[in-house]
Order: sequence, then C-alpha cells, then structure tokens
Amino acid sequence: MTSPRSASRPARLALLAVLLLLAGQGGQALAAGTGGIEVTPVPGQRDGRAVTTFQVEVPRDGSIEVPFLLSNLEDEPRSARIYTARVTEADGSFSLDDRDSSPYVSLPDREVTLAPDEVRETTFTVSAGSDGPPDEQVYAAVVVEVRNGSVVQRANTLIYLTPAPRLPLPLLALGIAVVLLAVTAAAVLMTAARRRRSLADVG
Amino acid sequence: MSRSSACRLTVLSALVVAVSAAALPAVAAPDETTVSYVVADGTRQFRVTEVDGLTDLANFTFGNDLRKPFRTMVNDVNRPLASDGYQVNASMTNLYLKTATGHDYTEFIPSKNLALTYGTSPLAGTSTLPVLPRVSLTGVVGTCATSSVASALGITPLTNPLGSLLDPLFVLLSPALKTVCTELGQLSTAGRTVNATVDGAAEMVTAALPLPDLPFTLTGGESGSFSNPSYQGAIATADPAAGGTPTSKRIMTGNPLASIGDLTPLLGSLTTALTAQLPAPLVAQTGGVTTLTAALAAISAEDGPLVSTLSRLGVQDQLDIIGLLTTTLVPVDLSALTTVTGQYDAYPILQASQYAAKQGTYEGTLVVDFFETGSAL
Repeated sequence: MTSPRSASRPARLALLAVLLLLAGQGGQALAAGTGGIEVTPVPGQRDGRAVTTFQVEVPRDGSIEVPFLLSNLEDEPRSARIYTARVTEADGSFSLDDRDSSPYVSLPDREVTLAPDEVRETTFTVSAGSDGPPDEQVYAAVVVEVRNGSVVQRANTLIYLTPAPRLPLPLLALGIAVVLLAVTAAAVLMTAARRRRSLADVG
Repeated sequence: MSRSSACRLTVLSALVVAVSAAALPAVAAPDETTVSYVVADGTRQFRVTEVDGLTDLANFTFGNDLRKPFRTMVNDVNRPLASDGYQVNASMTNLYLKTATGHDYTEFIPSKNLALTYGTSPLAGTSTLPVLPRVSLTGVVGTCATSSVASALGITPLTNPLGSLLDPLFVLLSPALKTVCTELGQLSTAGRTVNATVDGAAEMVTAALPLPDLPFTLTGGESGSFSNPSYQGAIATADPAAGGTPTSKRIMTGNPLASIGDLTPLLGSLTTALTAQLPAPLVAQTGGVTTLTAALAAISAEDGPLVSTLSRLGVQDQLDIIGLLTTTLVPVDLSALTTVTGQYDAYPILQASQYAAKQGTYEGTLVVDFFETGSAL
C-alpha cells in the first residue's frame, strides 16, 4: 500500500501538480459529498482498487498530514463548511459527534467556496491523542456540511484509524538483520573454534 | 565435534547470512512513495429534498396532519459495480419557541415528540448501467441448393447441375455468385456451421429495477421517535442544555450487491430491459447492436474459408446470409458491466405528535447525515 505520508510535502505537491495536468489518464478515482462538493482521498486507489474512504495509521509520535481533494462538480460556485469530527458506531449505525471532536484527527473548521469545477488539495492532521493512539480501530470523518434553512445535511467520508505498529517497519527489519548477523558471526566463530580444537585433538 | 555437525553449522550460518543479506536491501532502500492522482470520475452526491426530488428541503412546516414528508437521495454517477457502501441517518433537535430576538430555550417541544414514519414504499431506486451487449450467431449456412440461401441471394436454387443453366442471369451476370455457390458447395457442413459471439457497442440500459434487483441492496426505513435531541444547527447549538448523544434513525443503507449478494436477478432484469430496447436486426451495417464487419470477424475465427467465400458477395447479400443465422442477445453477465449510475431514494415522513405548548411558532433543525462507509459494512 502506498502511503501519502512518507513522501515529503513539496515533492508530493510537485507530483500532484504534474499529475493534475495528466488528470484522467490514470485509474478511476471516486468521490462522495453533498451540495456539489465532494471529497476524494489521495491516493484514490489502494491495492489497485478505487477507494472513497481513508485508512490511516495513527502515529505513536508526532503527526502526519493526510491529503485529500475537495472538488466542485457544478458549473457554478459552491460553498460548504469543511471540518473533521469523531464518529461512533453502534450496531452498524454511525453517528457524527461535534466538529473537531476527534482526539486524533484535526482540520480547521472553515467555510470553503470552490469555483466551478475547481479541485483543491487540502490535508487533515492525524496525531496521537493525549492518551496515545487508539488501542483498536476507531472512526472519524471529513465532513462536508451544507445548511438549507432548517435542514443540515452532512456528507461524512469515514476515516478508519488504527494504531501504528510500535516499531516502524524499517527499524524492525534493521533490528532483525542485526540480530541475524550477530547470530551468524557467533556461529562462524564457534565453528572455527571447534574446528581448531578438532585439528588440535587429531594432532 | 564431528565433521557432519560442523558442516550443518556452516550451512546454517550460510542460510542466516543469506536471510540477513535479503533483509538489508529492504532497510537500505530509499523511502519512495508513488502518489497517484486522477480527477474523480465516479461521483456520489447526497441530497435532502422535498418529495419531488427537485427542491432542496429547507424549511418544514407541519400541516394539520402534523406530517412533513421529504426525500433523501443518493446519486451515483459512473461508480464501479462493486462500489463502496453508504448510510443515511437522521436526528432532530428540539423545537424552540421563536421570539422577537431569537429563541426561548426554556419553551420547547422535545424532540421525542417528533418521529420518523414511512409510507408503503419507503425506499426506491433506479439504475442506468452501460452494458456491452453481445450477440450470439448460431446456425448452418446452407449451400445455394438451399432455398433460404438462394432466396437471400436472389437466385434459383441450384438443385441440380443444370440449375445454373436455368438461370441465365446467374450465369451471365453474376460470375461471383457462381464462385460463391461453388465454394459453399465444397465446404463441409462443419465448415459452414457458425457458433460465434460478437461484441456490440456499449448501450446504456435505464431500468427502474425492482428493489431486490438493484446493484445496491437498500435497507433502512427505521421509524420511531427522536428520544434524545441533537444540538446541531444554528438554533439548537445555543441551547444551554446542549449535550448528550442524539437519537439517530437509519433512513437508508446501501450495500453493493456485487460484494454481498446474488446478482442473478439484476443481470436478468438488465437482459430483459436490454432486449426490449435493442434494435432489430442485431447485426446491421449501421444502427444494429453490432456491425457486419464485427460479425464476420467473429465467424472468421472458426470458419475462415466460409468468411472468405461470403466476402465475395456484396454487403447486402452478406447481411442477408448472416440474417439466416439465429441471432440472439447473449444474457448480460458481469463481464458486460463496468459502471453504475444510479439513484437511491428514501421517503421518510417527519411526524409531530400533539404537545401542549405555549402558543407561538417553534423552530428546530433536522440533521441528515450521509456516511461514505467504504466496504467495511
């Protein structure tokens, strides 16, 4: 799985800029939203399959920026309030908490106006909460909120949050390699020593 | 220590070195990431509207029956057949007494006096699917002794060697026909047997499919009162009593049928709808499901000599001969489907119950949440 988090931001933005020019020449990307404004995760595909939700590992230290696209599907300007919030799930039903209620995900609550057909890249921040990352999968959402009089309609793109592994994979691999090399060295030394003893016994 | 155990130890060491060496490049490899991006070409829009589906629901005024029907819509455009699921839930604030300056938060109709109900058809959906229709061509092309072939070619059936002599037009003006008839006569029955499938051009099938046949299984229609209020929206946010978890009612859940259920009814409905809207004949130079060129190419894969012979004929004669075969639409299968454009609707009714409240106008907010849930449901 590719991760947008490990690419440096300038490099990613540059790449996005180039790829924007090549838009439509890659695989299918999907989006969902309301009021003409939609959210597309970046990258838009995981394991070769177009996705519409986020799957993010909450780091144990520091924070990561997760990019996504806001797009206006309409041929006239559209506005919506954009924020993130915690989502709870009970018996398969999801409920959205107040804005900025997630201890792990943050995005400044703001009113966004997009020009016709405008696509804008933005990010939300994922960091360990004050009590560290979650022990198990929890949920949050990127919310596109549109108010029409007495009706609030919100399109919530789920963010699936899981704790990052305790040891980053490269470090884990490095540790294993060091241990294996140490075992190898010890085995070689033991073999040589025993061989010398055998030769001495024969002599 | 024996020599054999020393060898084993050395082999073990070599294996350990090999494993270590394999692990090292992974550690040393630069942290490269490919970020792929394309403009979204599959969209999903959620709306809350009046029942007409055209006007955004903005204000609800209860009539004498204290009922306000509305509609929630999920519009998919160019989504994969096995697209991600979604969920639509609703919650409700208290209704607060409107005052000259704002709202009186001590005078309100509790949300538990509001409920969702539904009519006889709480859920509905329509789908438009681009289908790649395929045409099956089967049968045996007869010889010129066959009346159907002779009729198609406009000649007298060559029932005996003298037949050509009896048809001066055939002999004098259509030497090509004579060649064709000669070659057809030389082909075995197997060489004239056609069993081919031809891809057509993409067709859009718009079908008001019955609920069980939609690409999404729709469930929901959860009724009942809003026991605990929401405090979302401009009015309720300012309620000093704001807090707690609101009661949420699931209006609609859409799960992609392709991932959870039997697609047979969907495919059957599509075949029926496609059959009803396809032109006849299925193979035509223009306007058919597929072209003569495509049909001949498909036949040629197994019956090359037959197609070589038929190709000597004029286009109309070729079409007439193809028309003698049995041409049927191949039932739609998954390989013929690519994307789905669909609209999935729910028709809830917000129902208020009688409540002894202070005279005045009460206002509140209906909160309708759409969740793009991915494939996790």
